Amino acid sequence: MIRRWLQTKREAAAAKADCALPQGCQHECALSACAVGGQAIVVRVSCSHHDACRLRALGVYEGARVRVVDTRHGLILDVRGSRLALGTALARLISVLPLAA
Amino acid sequence: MTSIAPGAPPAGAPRTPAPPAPLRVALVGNPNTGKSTVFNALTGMRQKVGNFPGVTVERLEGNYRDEDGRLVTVLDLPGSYSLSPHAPDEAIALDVLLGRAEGVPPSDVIVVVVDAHNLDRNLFLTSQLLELGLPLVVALNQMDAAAGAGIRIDVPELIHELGVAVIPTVATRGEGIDALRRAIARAPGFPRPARQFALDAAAAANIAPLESALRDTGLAPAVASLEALRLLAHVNPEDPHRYGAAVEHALQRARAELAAHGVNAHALEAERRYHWITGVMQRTVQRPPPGGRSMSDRVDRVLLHRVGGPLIFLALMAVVFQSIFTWAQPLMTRVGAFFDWLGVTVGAYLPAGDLRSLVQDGIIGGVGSVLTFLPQIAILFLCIGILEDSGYMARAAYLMDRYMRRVGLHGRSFIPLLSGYACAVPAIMSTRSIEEPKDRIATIMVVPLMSCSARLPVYTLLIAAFVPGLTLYGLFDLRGVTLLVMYLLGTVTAFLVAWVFRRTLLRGPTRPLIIEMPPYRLPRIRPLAMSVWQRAMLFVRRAGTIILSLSVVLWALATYPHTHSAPGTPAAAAQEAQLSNSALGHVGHAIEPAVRPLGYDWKIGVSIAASFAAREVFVSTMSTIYGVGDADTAGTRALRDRLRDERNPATGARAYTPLVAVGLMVFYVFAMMCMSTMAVTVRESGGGRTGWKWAAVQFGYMLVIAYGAAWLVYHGGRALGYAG
Amino acid sequence: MQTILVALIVAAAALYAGRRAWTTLAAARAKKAGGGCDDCH
Repeated sequence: MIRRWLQTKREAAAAKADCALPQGCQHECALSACAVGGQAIVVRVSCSHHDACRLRALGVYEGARVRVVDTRHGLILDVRGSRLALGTALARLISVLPLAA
Repeated sequence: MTSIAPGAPPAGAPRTPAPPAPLRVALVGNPNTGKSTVFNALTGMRQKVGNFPGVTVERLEGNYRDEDGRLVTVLDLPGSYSLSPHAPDEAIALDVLLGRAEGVPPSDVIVVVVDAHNLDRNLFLTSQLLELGLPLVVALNQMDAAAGAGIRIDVPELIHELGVAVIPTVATRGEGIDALRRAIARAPGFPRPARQFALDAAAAANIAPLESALRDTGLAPAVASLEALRLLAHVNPEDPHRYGAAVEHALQRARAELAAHGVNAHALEAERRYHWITGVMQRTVQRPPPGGRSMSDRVDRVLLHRVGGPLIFLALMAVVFQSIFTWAQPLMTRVGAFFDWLGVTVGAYLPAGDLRSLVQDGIIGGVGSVLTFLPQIAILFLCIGILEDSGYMARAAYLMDRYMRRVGLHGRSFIPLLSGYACAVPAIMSTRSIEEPKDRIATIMVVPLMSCSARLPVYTLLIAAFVPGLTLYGLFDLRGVTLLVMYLLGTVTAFLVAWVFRRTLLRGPTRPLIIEMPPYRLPRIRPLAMSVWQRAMLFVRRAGTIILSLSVVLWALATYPHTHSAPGTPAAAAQEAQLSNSALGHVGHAIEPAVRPLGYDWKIGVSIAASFAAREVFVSTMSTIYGVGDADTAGTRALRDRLRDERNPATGARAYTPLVAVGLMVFYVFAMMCMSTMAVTVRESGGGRTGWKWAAVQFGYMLVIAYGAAWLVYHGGRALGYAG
Repeated sequence: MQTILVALIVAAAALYAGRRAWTTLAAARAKKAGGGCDDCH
């Protein structure tokens, strides 16, 4: 169990290093990897159908623009003016294309 | 003198026309839009709570008479973000709106409550509702909050864009409600609303067969288009209203064709609707430019701090419990004194005998002892209400999600768990918002461990009697701390038990957290005061009914059969003999062997058994027992004093020591002593056999933990030398 | 006289308590719940 936890931490750190570039990367990354204040366009919502449908109704759909507000305990997004809080696990399943700051 | 029958119109006066036909209104909207406030404003106190047939979703209905005398019934549907159901309460909303809910007559008018401050996302649901083809009225609520944020909405333009009446309201102040009522009355006369945007030609062509297949099942054309988009986005495999093989087939084809054109069928609905909404917003709403961080974000920087966040949360909880104990004290003393006075005064009018005993000990003693806790309960509800209204609850759920996930609980479980501190019954009912059945049942299983307000009288009585009022570090009262410890004990155990359940009976992954964080706001006094009042009144009503009747029955059991001791026997011994030989005493002696290992005598045993009906009955039973047979039943001696002075007749030593008291409190932390909770558990965990199975599991495991923990405390304490 | 009054009150209380217990359990038994929410604080 501890090994799994360590591995998740390592993956998260790697993913973060990948996409914290301010000028935006050419490839997509997980929403959980984006830095605070960064804007991104949603590319793919890969979670279960129930959750994906709920996310889309809330404004997180393929092509939508979101902004990351807070990443300390999960992920808080600014979606079309309202704040949406997501669990980290879910944020990893949403692929986005970060935009230049 | 001509006799005129009362109420008959004077001869020659025109007959009053019959009132127009009644209307049925369905009230919908996103969560956090003030829908309940609108509902209350429309219907006043004329509300009724019930259930929808076949589903365990609460049905809230009210009515009012509008200015034409028409009777308007309003059905408050559960809040949802879209018509696609993911949880049972959203499913029933869709069924009601489509007119296919069993036992619910179709609605004549739909009123959607929309948050003016957050119009963008709110319009998603509205855009779906427009396509139902039913008369629709939009209540643009929370206009005050919007104005405060500098948001200006061009209402006439919005009316033009949506094609339906839009009524600005500030439900908390009652503004716009009359206009809303008039709009409801006029809505059926307007042209039916319809979809306000169009799909591009290619997509429309791909979807046309699907729409046609849906029309073949009997849906109106507009509704068929709505359902087509909805089903493309998401199909719920457990939906009982699946449309059949033809539609399934058309659905697959449509998806494939769209994909061939590079269109994501799942995202089509969201993308189209929001595209339209963006246009509407541009044309009707003026927002001040977002100036970096909003006030809410700034507050969140602190409250959601990595380490500070959870600490602040714990500190807030500590403050809440501290206040429950300390602030309520003076009020409670006053209520207690009132009942004492009442007992004495009423007693003066009655001749000595059974009747006087019944009134003083059974009725006033029993009910009064429970009502003294009203101030505490009111303060508890007030604190929870403030946390909810200010918007902090959502943050707490978000903070707690990480930790709860580790034990297999959902972040959404947080709110039912927190409500469990007030009462497990509504808390268990609110688990309906948790979609995954295993998540829901796990939450239901542990909610009763959150010390509900009915345990407060038990804790308070025992703490007041046996815990000294020391002050720790000059800040914290030992009594408040003890109370907090009891609450923490229940909470921590709840998490542990949830973990066990999720590894054994309820294995499975936990759904991810998706929760909206409303902007912070100052709690509004009037709605808050009203809700605290309502809850307090429910508590009083419960005391005046269940507890009253049980106290009377228990009094009778303790009084009969009469035992007449020989004259000259000391009062204490006579009282003891009376109690021991009464019906209650016999039951108690029978139970005693079971509770003796915990250090309790038969009186506590009987009180525990009686408290299964309602935990507060423990207090009133003890009150009755100690009142009955007491020669100087002026009722002046507080129950806690009597407990302290109680001596074991055989050994002369104190019958109740702090150790026994703590053990008893621990017992109550864990024991499932509530008939109502059991009943709700049966219903909410599936009803019928499954429901009873889960209720039995719940009762069983809690009793085992309660007994074990109480035993440990008592014997452990004695082993450590705390015998006294 | 007193005894009759006492007996009446006790009987009424017992009936009420019994009826509440019955409806609570009956509501729990039925999957189609018709009960309301007045069992809570």
